Amino acid sequence: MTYSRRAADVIVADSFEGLGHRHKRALLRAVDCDDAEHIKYEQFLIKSLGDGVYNKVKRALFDGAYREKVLLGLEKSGISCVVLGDGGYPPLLAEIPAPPLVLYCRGNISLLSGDCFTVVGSRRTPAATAAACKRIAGELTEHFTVVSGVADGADTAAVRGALPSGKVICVLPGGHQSVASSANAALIKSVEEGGLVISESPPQRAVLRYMYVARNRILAGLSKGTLVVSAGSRSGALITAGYAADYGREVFAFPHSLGVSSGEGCNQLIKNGASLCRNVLDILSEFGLEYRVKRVALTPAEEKVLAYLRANGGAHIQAVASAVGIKVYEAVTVLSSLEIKGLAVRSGGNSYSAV
Amino acid sequence: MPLPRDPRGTANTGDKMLAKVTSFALLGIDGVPVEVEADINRGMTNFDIVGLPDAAVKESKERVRSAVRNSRFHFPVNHVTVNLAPADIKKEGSQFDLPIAVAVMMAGGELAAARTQGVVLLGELALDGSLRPVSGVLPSLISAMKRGYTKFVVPLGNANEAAYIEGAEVYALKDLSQTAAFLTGCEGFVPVAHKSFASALQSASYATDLSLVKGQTVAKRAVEIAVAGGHNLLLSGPPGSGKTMIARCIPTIMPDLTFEEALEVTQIHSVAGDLGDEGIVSLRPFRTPHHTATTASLCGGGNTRIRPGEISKAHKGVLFLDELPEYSRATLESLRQPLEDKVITVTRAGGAVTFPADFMLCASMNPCPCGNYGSAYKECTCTPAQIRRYRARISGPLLDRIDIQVEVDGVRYEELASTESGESSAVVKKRVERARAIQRERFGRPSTNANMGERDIKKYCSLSPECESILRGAFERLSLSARARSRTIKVARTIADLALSAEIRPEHILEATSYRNFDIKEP
Repeated sequence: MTYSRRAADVIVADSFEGLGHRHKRALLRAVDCDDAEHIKYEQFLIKSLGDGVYNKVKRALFDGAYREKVLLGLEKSGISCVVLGDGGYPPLLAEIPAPPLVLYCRGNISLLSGDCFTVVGSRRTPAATAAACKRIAGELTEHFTVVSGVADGADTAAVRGALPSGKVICVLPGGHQSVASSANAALIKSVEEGGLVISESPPQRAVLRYMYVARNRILAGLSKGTLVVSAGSRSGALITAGYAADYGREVFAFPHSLGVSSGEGCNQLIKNGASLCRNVLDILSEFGLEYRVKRVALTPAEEKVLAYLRANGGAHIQAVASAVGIKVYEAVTVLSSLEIKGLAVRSGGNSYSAV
Repeated sequence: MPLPRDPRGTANTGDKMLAKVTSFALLGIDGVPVEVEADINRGMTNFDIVGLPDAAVKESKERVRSAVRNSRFHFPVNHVTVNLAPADIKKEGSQFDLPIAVAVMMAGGELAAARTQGVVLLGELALDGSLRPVSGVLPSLISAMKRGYTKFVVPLGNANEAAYIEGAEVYALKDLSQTAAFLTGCEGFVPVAHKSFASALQSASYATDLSLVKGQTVAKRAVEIAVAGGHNLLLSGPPGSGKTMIARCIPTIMPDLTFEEALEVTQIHSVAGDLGDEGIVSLRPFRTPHHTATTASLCGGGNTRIRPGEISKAHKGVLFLDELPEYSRATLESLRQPLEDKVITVTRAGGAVTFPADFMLCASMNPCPCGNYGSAYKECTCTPAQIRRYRARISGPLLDRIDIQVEVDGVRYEELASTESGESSAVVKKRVERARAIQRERFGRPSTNANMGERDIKKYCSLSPECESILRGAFERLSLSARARSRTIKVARTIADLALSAEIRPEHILEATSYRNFDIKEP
């Protein structure tokens, strides 16, 4: 991939470790002689970094060999860069304070210019909620590209739900190479092939704790809205929701029953004014979009069982059997069938919930 | 009973002879005939045993000498040599005490009139001359019968064990004097009365019953299917949910042991030396090795005398591994080959021994480290990564051999307190036997669905297009792993057999897919 002179400057400036976001932006303006204020930025950098460091950085920025090495390294690892200020940069993300200078991308970059919607949640997401998350993510792809992280639980459920349509963006907390050995490496690989994986860090950068929070601002910033499917009272998903609210985007949350610790954060969000989301229609209607509900053919027994599950929110198989008046092993059959049709999910033990 | 004493034996006249009696040594669960020869030569008073005796056999010198003297016989004062032939097999155990004593007494002239031709002698001697029971009598008897021996002398304590062999003339004797009297032809000895296996079967009963398990209808159904098709079973559930209780009920719904099976099982337990008073194992064994068990204790081992391990003791019964992830990886992996071959070959420096090991594996585990994952009443505090690590302790190849995985629910108080009882084991057993009969007919031999290979699956488990599409849908929707496919089909075959259905129908496939919670990759 070839970059314009300015884009290459930004990419090379971004490769300096130890320079903060503010310094990098200042550096780019300081070396730009067309910029009327470049002297001011130069002075700022000399003051905060010191003369020696500034000159070293400046030299490296224009060192042909170094530039070549950086750009070639990116090309070799199959990463293409989208630079702030370029045409391909997602416009919504450019609006936030401190937008990433460079998005390091693997996969289908054209997804960045479409409408995005973020689905996030806790690692400890109950099976039924994860199934609902997977389903809603799949349904959202009809109008949006689904954005999420790559953590266990809700994030991966959302990614899996959206992956078949190819409209999915995963935002990594660290560089691309930092996830090579993670448990979800296989999933990330398939997103690279079918969707898009992005990061604001150069590929080699390892993950540090603060980078998760920084990543969450990208999750919120990319999208028109954010859905939190599950969150404990101190979950990282709440930070994402907080950013989304700060940026003036829509925030949605699944309601949870009382006393479920993985749902306390969601209920808190709803109390604070987030929109309550029961299904995909709740989200789409907010944006004036429509969704055609697909009907699945059901047998009479399946109708009955599903109605019972819907009425009770979830039930043990024995309760289902006695309520519908069938043997337990017949109920197993019906519930398995509903599970395969994607209308019920095993919520642990031998209990099932409607999705 | 008067003891006939040979006049030549009363004095140390030097009129000695070579004596020979027959006994049996054990190699695994096979008996090997051992000729015990005794000879008396001039020279210093000495007592030698040659022919690869182990420590217990060497020590028998002291027991034999005292037992002979204390039974008021004369022990030769010359150079006594005892040879155990064939000389190249290691002789182990204390069952040679009696044959050695008899051979020495014969050689010394004390029992010159004894007729030992065709008699097999087994028994350990106490210092006072009485006979103590030994392990391995039944396998020795069975091997001896195969070789044409029909007359046996065993300790009184082994009488029950010997009573079940048809056609064997077994004399269970109290002590050395009685043996001497018997061998010299005294009248009045009656062989052990033959007992029928049916009566033993009738009198035996299990301590548990399926009707005592409250609730747990899903798990009970899974157990029924597992037993009907000979499938291995994994129960997962929170602590205290009754996994062990359910597992203990498995033998109660298995078909009764046949006599041949019972003999095989008894042989193993006899060699291991843990045969009870009944003399025959008439109930299906239920073995529960602790999770600290070593590979040798599970598979069998031992330095000189190779003994059967827990998996052989569970032959024709159930091997229950409680808290499966707590077992060491190496121990679990060692189960893979016997699960496939139904036998275990233990190889040691002393030789290789093959023990039967045709058992049903039933394992239990918690669903996650804290035990509450999926519980309706308690919240799980584990992260997905922790759960993944916990489950990864059980290797894929081992899970491959466990066809049915089912969750056992935490039990609520109302269920425990309810007086309504479910089906009894006897009722379930009837259905299991019916399904087993169908399988016997299908395979033309007593095999089960679980043993089907890929070719058998093709032959006996043809799926209608509808079933095929359900199976495909299930695999896509539930992200089942590919290796779960043939397992699901095998289980569906068993469910169809239980329902007396010739072909596998959609509902059978659907039910089978629900016994696979471990194969689901991710939500």
